[in-house]
Amino acid sequence: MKCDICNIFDHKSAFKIIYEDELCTALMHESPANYGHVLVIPTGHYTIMELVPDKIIEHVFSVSNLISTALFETLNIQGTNIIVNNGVEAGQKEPHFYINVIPRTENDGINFEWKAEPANEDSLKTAELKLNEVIGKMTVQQEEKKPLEIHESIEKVDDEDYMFKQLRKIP
Amino acid sequence: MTEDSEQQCVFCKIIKGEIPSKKIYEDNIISAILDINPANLGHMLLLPKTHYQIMPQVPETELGHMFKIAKHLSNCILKANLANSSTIFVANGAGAGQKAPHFMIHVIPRLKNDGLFDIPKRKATEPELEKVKNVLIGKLKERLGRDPVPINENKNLDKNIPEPLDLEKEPEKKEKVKEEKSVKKKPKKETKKKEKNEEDVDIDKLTDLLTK
Repeated sequence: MKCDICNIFDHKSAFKIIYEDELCTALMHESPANYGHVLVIPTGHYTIMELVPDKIIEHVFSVSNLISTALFETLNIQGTNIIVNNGVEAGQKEPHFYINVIPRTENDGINFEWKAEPANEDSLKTAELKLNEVIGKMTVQQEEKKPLEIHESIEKVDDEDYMFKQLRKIP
Repeated sequence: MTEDSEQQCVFCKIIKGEIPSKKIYEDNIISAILDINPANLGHMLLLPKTHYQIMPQVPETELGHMFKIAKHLSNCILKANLANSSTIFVANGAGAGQKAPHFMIHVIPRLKNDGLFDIPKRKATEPELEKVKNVLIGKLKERLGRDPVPINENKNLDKNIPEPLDLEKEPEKKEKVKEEKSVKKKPKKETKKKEKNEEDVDIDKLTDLLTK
């Protein structure tokens, strides 16, 4: 039995799809957090992010970035959030990984902020140790053995002015 | 302006080691550090070493690499038993909660009822959804230089149902159809086995929790 999200791919005309390729589909959320809320969903059935192959992760987030830029260029917004809630405790309801791309405006009534209280130093050290212990066993698919090239200078993109305007508001 | 921003950037100083931090992962593109003011303990910040202020500045290869590492760091949170769930969070622009002029990806352990990242659901009318859909398709078409949604998909009501082959008139296609049917069955089994062997975390347990 297919999951609700896999069923979308069998009934595409019933959904507001804005982008589609072999690996993923992007569509308008029917109960959006904000006007323009888009979901980016891989075609393959992966329950959680950890199961999604690296290539597909790269692709779906690239599509999310494209959609984020398109939202900036078409709607009068001051930001976008890219959110993956991964797992039951994160509020994941459907057993199929997907990405939320949410347009944001000031005073839109959405608050994703958290209380930035300093963590206990001992707790931080313990967390650091635990993570460092498992990180060594992390296997990342490396297609090329040479490290990726770092861009020495940042290329200025013309249509970024709107984002820089938002950035100037950051203290 | 970019230079000033870089010189004053706290995160650039952290990356260079001028300000101490708890580094969890590092390669030539990125650094991942523990947030000392975490949403939940184990909250990591994934920072590009280059001073990119906003997401559109990040080259595609580097951005893909960052999200790939974000996935692996999320997996580390599970393996380190800090949590059974995680949130990947990006704030693009002040209106979205971007606090610092240095692009970053948050990888946050999630605990039951921690009250974080609750995405509200609001009512939207059909005309509203249709309008924004068309506006976005238009913009994506402009950016991609092609239709973002394959045209023939719009016409069919359900999954593309091909016209029935008249196999009596085209007998060579009969064999091809038989071949295709037998090939289709294999890939599904292979994928399932691969999933179980690859991960150490009890994914089945997590999946069970999701499907209850």
